Amino acid sequence: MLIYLPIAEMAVPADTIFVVSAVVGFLSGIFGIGGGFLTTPFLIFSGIPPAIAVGTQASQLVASSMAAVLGHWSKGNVDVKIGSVMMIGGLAGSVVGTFFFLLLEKLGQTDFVISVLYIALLGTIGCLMLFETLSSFLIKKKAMRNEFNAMRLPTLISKLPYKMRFPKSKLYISALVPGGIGFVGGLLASILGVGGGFLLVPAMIYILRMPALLVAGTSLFQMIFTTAIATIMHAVANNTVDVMLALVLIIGGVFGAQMGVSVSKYVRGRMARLIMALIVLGVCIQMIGHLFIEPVDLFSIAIW
Amino acid sequence: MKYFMVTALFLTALVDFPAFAQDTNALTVELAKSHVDIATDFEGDSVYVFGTKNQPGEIVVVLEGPRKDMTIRRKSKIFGAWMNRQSVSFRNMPHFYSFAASNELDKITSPEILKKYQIAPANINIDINDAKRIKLEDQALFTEALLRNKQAQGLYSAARGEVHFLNRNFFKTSFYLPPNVPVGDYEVKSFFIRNGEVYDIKTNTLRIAQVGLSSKINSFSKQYSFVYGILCVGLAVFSGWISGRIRRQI
Repeated sequence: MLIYLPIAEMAVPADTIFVVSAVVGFLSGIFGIGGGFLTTPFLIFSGIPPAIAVGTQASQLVASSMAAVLGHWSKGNVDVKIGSVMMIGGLAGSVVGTFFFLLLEKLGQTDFVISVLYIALLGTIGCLMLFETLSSFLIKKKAMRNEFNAMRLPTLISKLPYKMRFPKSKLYISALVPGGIGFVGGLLASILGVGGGFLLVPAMIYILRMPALLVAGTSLFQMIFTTAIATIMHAVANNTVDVMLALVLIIGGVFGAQMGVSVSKYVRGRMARLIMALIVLGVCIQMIGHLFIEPVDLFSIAIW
Repeated sequence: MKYFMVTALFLTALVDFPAFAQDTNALTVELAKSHVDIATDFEGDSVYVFGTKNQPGEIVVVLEGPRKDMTIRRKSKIFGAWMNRQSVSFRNMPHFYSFAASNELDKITSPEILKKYQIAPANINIDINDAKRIKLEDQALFTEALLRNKQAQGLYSAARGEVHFLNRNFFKTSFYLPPNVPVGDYEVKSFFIRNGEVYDIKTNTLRIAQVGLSSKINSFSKQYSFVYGILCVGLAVFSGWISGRIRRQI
């Protein structure tokens, strides 16, 4: 079934996109991830201009982080203050990222740069996840935790100015640290169309040293705003947010996530993480192939 | 040889002073509809062209889309990765091009006339931006690549469509518009060719545009892009909230 996208000005197979976003939503329901890093490459591979894919995916992330944050919010697991500081960083990151994206489009290097960034991110995350999961099968979990805790960077961080108190997280650190993490999140949202949870969550645990209980809720909380700003920026600067496509993605994602959440009770944690790591590496390998295998036609028509 | 040159001169003269001035009623052409509406359920469409001519001869019909500048990029290998390295811009190229004829083009008229009236994709006027700085062989490669890519996208016709005669003078033809057809103003140019010369030309216009909700969304997103962005976010927040509420009740 084709559906005509009013902004992209093209017809796309709505059923395929729905199924893919439902599958991604299913995975995100099970693993508690955003899944933008799966949907955005899929949209680009299926012929939707990268700018539309990224801009529209940002609005889908608003919906999925909104849906996921509610549970954390009602349990009081959101540090609003630290989330707000991250949000300000996220705003700056979204603005910079949107203009960087515009520049890439003008230079004709969007595909290349997005592919390289995805390969670097997915490769790193996938390998780390795989390593952690495989070793957790062998070594006891505590040993791993201690190893991570040994990687301390407090000397540099404690020297940064603009210190703030965050009572909920019991932290007294420079606002530049959460702000900087939020900034990276904003860049990821506006350039790659991903929420960036896979990067923000470890950063909040190991750099900010936030209480683990607050990390997921707070990162989702700030992600709603960061992706919302990225959506508005893409709509205003590039007119690349397609509400029809967003609707298909959101409904598919909601539908899949609902099923994922109910299935997640029956999935064993380690096995699930192993599967997730393999999916991430699979997407990464596909992108490497896309970049390094000689294309069928070396020539292409620029979209803009 | 001499005879050939005289004929060629004569033909050129005919081209320069079009013969169709003799009879502007030789050809009548009408479109079944002058606009193609794109709604949310658009899955491609067809344009039907009908016409009559008042004497024996061949018919060629060209449908061409909005003209814009177009850039073609070429990838080359950098450290094993394929990256866009070179680009060539073409001025004023049609975004869509399709044609139909009542016979093989080489049996209808000369290559010069085909070139002059831009009949068939290979005869579209090529105007390369900054052409002096681009090697001739590259110009040819990029031009070929443009036609090839456009054909692969289904936006330039690879082969001629058929013009059918319903009786000796009444003809019809149709053009398929794929789901990815660019929106904009199109021209249907019909050529009545007699003994290899263009005897009459008629131009009809066709407008391909979004209608209904689809077009409202498009124009709203351009006019009030900030409000549009906020509405998209609002929609996402609302559906996310509902979905979160349902999830927590399960």
